[in-house]
Amino acid sequence: MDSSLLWLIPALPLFGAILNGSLSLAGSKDSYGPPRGIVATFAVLMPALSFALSVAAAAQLGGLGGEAAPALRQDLFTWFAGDGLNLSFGLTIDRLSSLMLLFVTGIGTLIHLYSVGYMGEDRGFARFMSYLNLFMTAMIILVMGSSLPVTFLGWEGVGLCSYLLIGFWHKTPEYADAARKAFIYNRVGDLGFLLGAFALFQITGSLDYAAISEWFRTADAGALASAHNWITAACVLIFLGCAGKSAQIPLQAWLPDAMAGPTPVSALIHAATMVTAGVYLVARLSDAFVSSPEAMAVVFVIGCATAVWGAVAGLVQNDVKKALAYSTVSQLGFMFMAAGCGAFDVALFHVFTHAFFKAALFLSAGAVIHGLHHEQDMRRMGGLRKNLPIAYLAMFYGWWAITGLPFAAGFFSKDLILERAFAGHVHLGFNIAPLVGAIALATAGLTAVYMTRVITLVFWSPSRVDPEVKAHVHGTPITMAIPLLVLGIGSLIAGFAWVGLPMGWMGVPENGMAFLASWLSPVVGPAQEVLAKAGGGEHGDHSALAVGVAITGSLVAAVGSLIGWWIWRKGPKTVPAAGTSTVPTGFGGGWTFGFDKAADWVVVKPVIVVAYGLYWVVELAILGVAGWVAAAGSRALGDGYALALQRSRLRTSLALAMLGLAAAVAALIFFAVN
Amino acid sequence: MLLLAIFLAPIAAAVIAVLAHSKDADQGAGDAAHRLGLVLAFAIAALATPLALGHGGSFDATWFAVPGTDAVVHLKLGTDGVTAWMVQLIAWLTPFAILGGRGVAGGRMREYVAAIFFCEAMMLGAVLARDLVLFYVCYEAMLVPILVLLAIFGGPERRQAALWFVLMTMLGSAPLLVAIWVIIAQLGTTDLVAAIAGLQAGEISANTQGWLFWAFALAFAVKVPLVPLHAWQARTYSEVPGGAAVLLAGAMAKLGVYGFLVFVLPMFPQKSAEHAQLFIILGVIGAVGGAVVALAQDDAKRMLAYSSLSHLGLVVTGIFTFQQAALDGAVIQMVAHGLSAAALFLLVGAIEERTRSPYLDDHGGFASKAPLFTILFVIAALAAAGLPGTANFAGEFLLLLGAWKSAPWIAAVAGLSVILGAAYLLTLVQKWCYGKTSEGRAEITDLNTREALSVIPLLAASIWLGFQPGIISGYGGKTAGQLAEPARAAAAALKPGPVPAALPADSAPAVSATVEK
Repeated sequence: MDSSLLWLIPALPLFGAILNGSLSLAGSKDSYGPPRGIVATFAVLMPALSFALSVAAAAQLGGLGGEAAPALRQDLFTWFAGDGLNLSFGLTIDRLSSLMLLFVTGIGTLIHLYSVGYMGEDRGFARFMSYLNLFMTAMIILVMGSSLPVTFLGWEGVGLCSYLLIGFWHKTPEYADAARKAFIYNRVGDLGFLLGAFALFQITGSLDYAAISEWFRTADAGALASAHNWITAACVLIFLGCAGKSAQIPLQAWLPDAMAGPTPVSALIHAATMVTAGVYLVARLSDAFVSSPEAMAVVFVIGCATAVWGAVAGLVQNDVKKALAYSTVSQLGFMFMAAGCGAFDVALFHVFTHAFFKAALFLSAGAVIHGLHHEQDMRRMGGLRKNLPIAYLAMFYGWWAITGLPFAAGFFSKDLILERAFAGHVHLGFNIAPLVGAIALATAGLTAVYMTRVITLVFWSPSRVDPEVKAHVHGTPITMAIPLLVLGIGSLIAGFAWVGLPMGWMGVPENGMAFLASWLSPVVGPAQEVLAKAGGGEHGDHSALAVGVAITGSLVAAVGSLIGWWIWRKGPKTVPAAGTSTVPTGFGGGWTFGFDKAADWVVVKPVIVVAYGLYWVVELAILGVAGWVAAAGSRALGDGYALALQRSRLRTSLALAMLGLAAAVAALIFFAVN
Repeated sequence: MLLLAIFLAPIAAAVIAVLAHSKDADQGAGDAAHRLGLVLAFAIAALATPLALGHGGSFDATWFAVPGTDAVVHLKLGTDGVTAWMVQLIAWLTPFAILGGRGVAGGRMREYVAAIFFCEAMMLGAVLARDLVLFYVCYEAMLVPILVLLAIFGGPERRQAALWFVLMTMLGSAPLLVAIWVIIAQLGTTDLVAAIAGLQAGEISANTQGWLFWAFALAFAVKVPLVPLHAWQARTYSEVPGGAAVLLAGAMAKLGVYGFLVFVLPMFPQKSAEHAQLFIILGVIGAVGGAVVALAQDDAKRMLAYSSLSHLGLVVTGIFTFQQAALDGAVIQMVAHGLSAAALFLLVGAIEERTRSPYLDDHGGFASKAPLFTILFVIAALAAAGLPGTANFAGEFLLLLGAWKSAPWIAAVAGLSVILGAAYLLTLVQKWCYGKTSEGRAEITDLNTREALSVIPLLAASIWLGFQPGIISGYGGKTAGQLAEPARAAAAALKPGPVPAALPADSAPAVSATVEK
């Protein structure tokens, strides 16, 4: 494809968003709403066309049918100019954005199709599809942006769509609260993004990714050393932005609340695509990150801490979507762990496989919720294999993949993360990598426990479903079944496919991770080489470690799964009545809401106290008294001037004001002349 | 001549509007005045548009001699990049102020339209003026129509609002008058260019210049307003009708910023450089403090007033960093904030007309009953919050970038207002648009065509300029840079050695920032 067509990839879903938005508005007074067929057709077709274009672009990058291009780039117009800033609104597809684009548009299209079945009956169907299309546009711009500000446009754009979609059922105040919380948490991160961008601009003189990478790749040791503190500051600030978007400690608390949105939204935005944007950005700026070991250590430690916290909190949830949300937080932690020890390609590999299995898990949960008439409490599920076979299949494959049991997607990507963590050299006074690797291994075991708990409670344990509901379980319509099966099978083979690639295809001879690594090497390769050199010369032979981690990891996953099944095989101890709160209490509540409470006491409450304090004390009391004194004073001096105003004799007072002015002028002239 | 026409046309329009129809109480009369006013306002805006492309020239005529001195006051008008964009803002917001007044003014539309036009004329006169006395006359006279609008159409607390407005403005403008007089007495001229030349050449002693600087700065600080001179703002904004708030918050507040750029910096570069740190800190206090206090508001119009305090505080901070990026951002943000504030005041005004209540807790559930209002309200709120893709983002981005270049802490602290901005604006959206209709309140009707058309062009312009901010900064930012140049040089001379950001950017291998096409 020609690079002058790149603008179409974001523009097509934008067209869909505008069309469906207009239809939604036009049909708002109509009792039937806008025509669903047209809405559904355009909403699904537009991302599908973007996917087709992304495939064409990827083929061109891979050298199918001609010369392989390193990157496709289109500069649409000048956005900012002046003061050393010469920034065009550029779109780029290189190896990295191509990988992201493929699964964003591909999985995105599938979830659009799923939404037709899931949301088809909703009164706001057209509005929903319009927001989803708008999300695709923003996400595509985020991934394709060739500079930090263009990415930032998509970055805040996906935040906006996330806000609109979390609060889609806005009549429930808690949902609207969750939406606002998500946006504000993201804004905190976004300020980090902006300040980090400024710092990078100060260091490299550009905001364009190509120029930034070029600067770091060609900078000599002296320049890097003298800018070292600023590079660390820039990377930590950028990582704050990533922590907001990808729900990492300390900005992770918004993501579980975001499950208030309809389930396809949770699958698309809060699992498969948007929340991985932080990992994407770290990989995109890998050349900067590897220049600062301190920043890498921050990424590594925060990733590990978040992985542990998410896994423990996921273990105690009763709401199926919440359990999956904490799982997402935890998995994102794994990705940052990989990025933090310099394995950017491995991090992206996990982004890729996670997109499949987490989307499958969420969509399957959605099919269960849909089937049970909006029941989300796992304590009131169980034994649904026969009733919802397709949902079961998808969740089974997803479970297989995420636990890390052999041969599904997670087995490959997660084991690589563990392997690289153990082999890494991340210094915080001493090499923390083996310690963190051990914690990560334990967390992988915990992952198997909580995921097995979910699938056991939903499908394997005896049924606790209301007999009334059980008699009327909604089946899975075809529009939902197709995405479920595609993503389910995808989570099985998304890792395996790389291993099984025919030797020699497209000039990629090796197996396993090698294809992805070589695909991404033009973007993240130089950064990884920098680290390999810093880590003590040659990156030794890891095959023994690899086999060891693979065996240990599989064993841990198997044991974890067995534990999970054994504890919950008979279902929960007590089955609550319908409509009971799913919020965990006690120890579970402590783990889950510790960060919320901390944020509340450290940030929210103080800000509110200061806000009212400033308003009442400074604005109303001090300035109010000052104003009263001034008014009284001028009344005494000005002989009724202010009094007249208070009596609302506006004309009189204006005349007085003009007279006063004239008198002042006359007096001044008089004094000046003499 | 074009400039004179632009200055005089609104005065003529005010007269025509008064003559339009004699029957005040007749609803038809309001309609006639409204339509006539709209046509005239758009015509004036079209007349003013060539200025943005660099046209306009200048105008000069003798007005009167100041008795007892050699000074002759001229009716001297001129234009440059900053002036041209202020003229655009004033001239293009006026028709929307008239559109927004239809609901409140009713049969007294003639007075409303006449006051708006008179206010427009005085604002245009103030920004076009290249003579200190002419500037002062217009700068003072623009208060009169605002007081008239407040008196006739204002809210229940209008007396108190008028008192604050007049008192504080006088506090600022009385010393300004004295300062102008001192300049006349010592330099013998009222011409702005000559005064700048004289002041920069040191024809007035440094000591006196110090006092003059404070007199000018005080007048403009009240207008912006800058903390702690902002006490009039929330009180006034919450009492004027929505349409008039368009001019007040959208355009008039920017005259303070304009004053800093066009008068204070070029006239007193040395003093500006010496006191830059103070104004940066006051701006940051306004930016963050205004946003914090906005969180505590239960009245939408007061919240928007504190929002203005916050946004314009950031602009003043940017101006006093003297960085080109921040100056570009300042001019962009003047226009961008004008558009978003006007849209928000019009939308809040529409709700107030329907329900007589601007309070946050009184409403809810607009999203289901008034979807068009909700969409526009959300877009306007997000624009005000500086979402990328709107002109406000372009302005804030450049302002913060300039602040970072000057000293990173400024950007870091001022940037908190970006987070807080999202917090209070989304709270407003959430209270009004989401949830359910409040108990005991009737369902509201959606925006009518007039109301929708009074907001959509403003938001469309904001989005367009969000992607093409160079239209503003290419001309306006360039002028702002030239105006700030002496102050920048003075600031550089004050601080020998590298600028705070102690990074030796030049020693690093320079990579061309240009992008391969």
